[in-house]
Amino acid sequence: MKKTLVIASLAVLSTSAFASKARMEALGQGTVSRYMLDTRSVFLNPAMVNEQKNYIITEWGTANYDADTDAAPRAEGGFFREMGTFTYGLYLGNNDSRIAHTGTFLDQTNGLDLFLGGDMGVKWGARVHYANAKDETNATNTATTKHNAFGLGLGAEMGDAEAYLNIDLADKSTGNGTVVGQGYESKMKPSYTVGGSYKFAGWSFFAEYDMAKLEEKTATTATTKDSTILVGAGRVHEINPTARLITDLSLSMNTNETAAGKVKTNALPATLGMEVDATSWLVLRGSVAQNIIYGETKNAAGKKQTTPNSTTVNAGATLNFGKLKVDGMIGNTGGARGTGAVGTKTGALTTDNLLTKVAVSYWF
Amino acid sequence: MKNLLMIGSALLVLSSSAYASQSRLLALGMNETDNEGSYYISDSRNMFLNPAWINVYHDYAIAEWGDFGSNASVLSTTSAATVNTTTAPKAQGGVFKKYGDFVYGLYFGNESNTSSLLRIAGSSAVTTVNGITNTTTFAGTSSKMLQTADNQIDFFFGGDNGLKWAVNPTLAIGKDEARNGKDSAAALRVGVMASNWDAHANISLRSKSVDTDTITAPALAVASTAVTQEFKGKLGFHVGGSYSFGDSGKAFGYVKHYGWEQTDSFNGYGALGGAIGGQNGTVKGDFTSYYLGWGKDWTVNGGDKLFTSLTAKKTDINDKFTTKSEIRHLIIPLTLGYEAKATDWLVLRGSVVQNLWGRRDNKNLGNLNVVAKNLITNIYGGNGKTTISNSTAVNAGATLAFGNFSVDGLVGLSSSARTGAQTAGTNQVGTNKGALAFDNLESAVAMTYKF
Repeated sequence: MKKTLVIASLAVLSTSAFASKARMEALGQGTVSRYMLDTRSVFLNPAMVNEQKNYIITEWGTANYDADTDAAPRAEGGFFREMGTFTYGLYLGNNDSRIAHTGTFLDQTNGLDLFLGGDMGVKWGARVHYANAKDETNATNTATTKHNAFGLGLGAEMGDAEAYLNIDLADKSTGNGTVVGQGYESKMKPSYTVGGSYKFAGWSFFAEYDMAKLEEKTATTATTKDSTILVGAGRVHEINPTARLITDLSLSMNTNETAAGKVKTNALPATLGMEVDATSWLVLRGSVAQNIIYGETKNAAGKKQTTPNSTTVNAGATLNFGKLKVDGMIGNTGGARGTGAVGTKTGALTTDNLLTKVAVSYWF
Repeated sequence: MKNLLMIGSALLVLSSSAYASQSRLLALGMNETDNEGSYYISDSRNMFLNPAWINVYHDYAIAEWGDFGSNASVLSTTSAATVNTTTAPKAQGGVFKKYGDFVYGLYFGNESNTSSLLRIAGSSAVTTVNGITNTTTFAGTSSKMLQTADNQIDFFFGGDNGLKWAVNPTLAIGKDEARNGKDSAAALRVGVMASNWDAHANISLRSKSVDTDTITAPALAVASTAVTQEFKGKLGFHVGGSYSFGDSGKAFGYVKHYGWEQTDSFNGYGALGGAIGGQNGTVKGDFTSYYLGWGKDWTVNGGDKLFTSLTAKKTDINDKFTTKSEIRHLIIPLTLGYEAKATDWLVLRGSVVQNLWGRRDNKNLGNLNVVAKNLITNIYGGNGKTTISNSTAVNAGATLAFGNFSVDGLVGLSSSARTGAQTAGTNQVGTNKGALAFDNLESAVAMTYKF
């Protein structure tokens, strides 16, 4: 039994070393998975720094801190290293903003995340997020805009169970670039994500609650509240040492409240994915996901609309050069090469844009 | 000898048809509205023709690349009506697993093009030109057509008790209360396969789409008007089967029939002078297709395949406006195809198809709404009685094989140009300009993993 577990662990290591935003998206997990180990997991549960360490990762993209799309991913990257029973890490460019500051308020930029974790029987980890910016050049240098953010993440992993808590202790932007707006303020109220999972019978059952509240005081005061309850189960089925099937089903209930009213979006999505070591140098992966019967938005007027076209197929690949891995998405380039080619899914396998949303990681 | 043949057949199946997708069958000459499969080419896609095929192909996962499909209205950049095309395929995929003597499967996103086309035809003519500011170019059009079926789920369950059998219930539901819109579709496929024959019945259990929108069409002097449109499916079935004559090939055939009622509350078509088609009130329609054919494959050079088929397909469509719109379409195409294992990692395939006989006799297509008219014209030609010209079509495809993982796609569907916006109808995929484009290596791609 123990040997089986060791072999299974090795299999996990051999696959999850290929780790990036692109991998998560190709497997239908969004930016981070609640049940699949990946380097992205540290942003959900900092205790996961104990699971993958001694690597440097760079996610290619543009210096656009506010947006992270397939067509224009955000540049970011970091470094994680083991030190005795501890692991530490430094990550640059992660955007921890739950709700973007609107208008000309400064948004988060130049984010810095510090990680520290250890294994003392219980694996634990902590993450500190910091971002700070100031602009005194607005409106003939008489109006200053400032932003600062400070967040804390805590997590633990005990056998089959794990738990995490990520809190935004501060995320505040003052001044909107005008003289009259010197006293304006966009401030995130204490916001948090709390969740956990438990592995049972090959499945990971997970639950999470995410709450964010942004208050913006200009000539008037506007408040945005956003909360999501997520429960579900996921499984990574190791068919053989070189192939894995991924299955999950979750229920997501989101409420977004603004002055315009309350918008509720609920969905019951299922994901079927696969990840295969096609050759010694190539890993291919893909997924199909769709809302199962239930998936709708109730707008501020109380009208419901089924979420249309919820079927999504994503695909990706890892080019494996020993300790160096190049991850990316495939199938995300349209057949034409005009406006909007990247990020357009026309079912084409394009070799000129071989990979998109590329990440390179080096393991040492 | 029989055992050797069976083993040989199994290996051939594994070596070729394990790479199975819409694009494989399209490359081999399949020409069905729903890409539902072939009666004489062994392929996992055939489960959408006869679900009993899941007993032949199981223990695999498939993901066909794409997005929401092609916007049915080329007049508009937004529409709730979409269809699956090779240029803009719909994302879809699923998993199939054997469990003892049984096989089960789950598949997402295989919305029927036939169902979509009928709802498009059933949409109110005035909703297809909502916002129109120019009657020549249809500029400013913002379609508010009926929602086509979406988020479809197919469940499969079958077994092999000497006779292979399977059932495949299908469900798609949606609503949009802001449009007072509701959409639902349900169908049941059942099928059996014996050693030398197979049969299937695909029954439409429900198909309904309704909504009420406020429509304006300045160029047609249509002021803000609430329009209720409804599509209601009536009797719908697709029954067929095949019989194998052993070395002499397979005979096969089907009958498809779908009836419907379309209701349109807009009461002003007379004043528009017939510019956009349409008719107030309830109009009945029906679609009937008869298909009969013979097909055969040969194994050559120890594992490669040659395919041929001769089929006859007659399609009759009636939309019973006061002056009935009629489509009468008869083709007798001959298909020649090949599939060859070029290397350990590459399978190439292709086909050439041409009508030995092709004739159409279409009437009053102008009574259809403009979007339906455009789609019908693309598929079945315009008004008039004529032979069908330029029926010769060449398709090609390839499978990149990485052990049990394969990447299928169509090749040769890309022109040599690479400019133009993705949404401007100038997409270079689907242009068949005879180019082997390495940058657009494959289109309508599918990934399959067999476990």
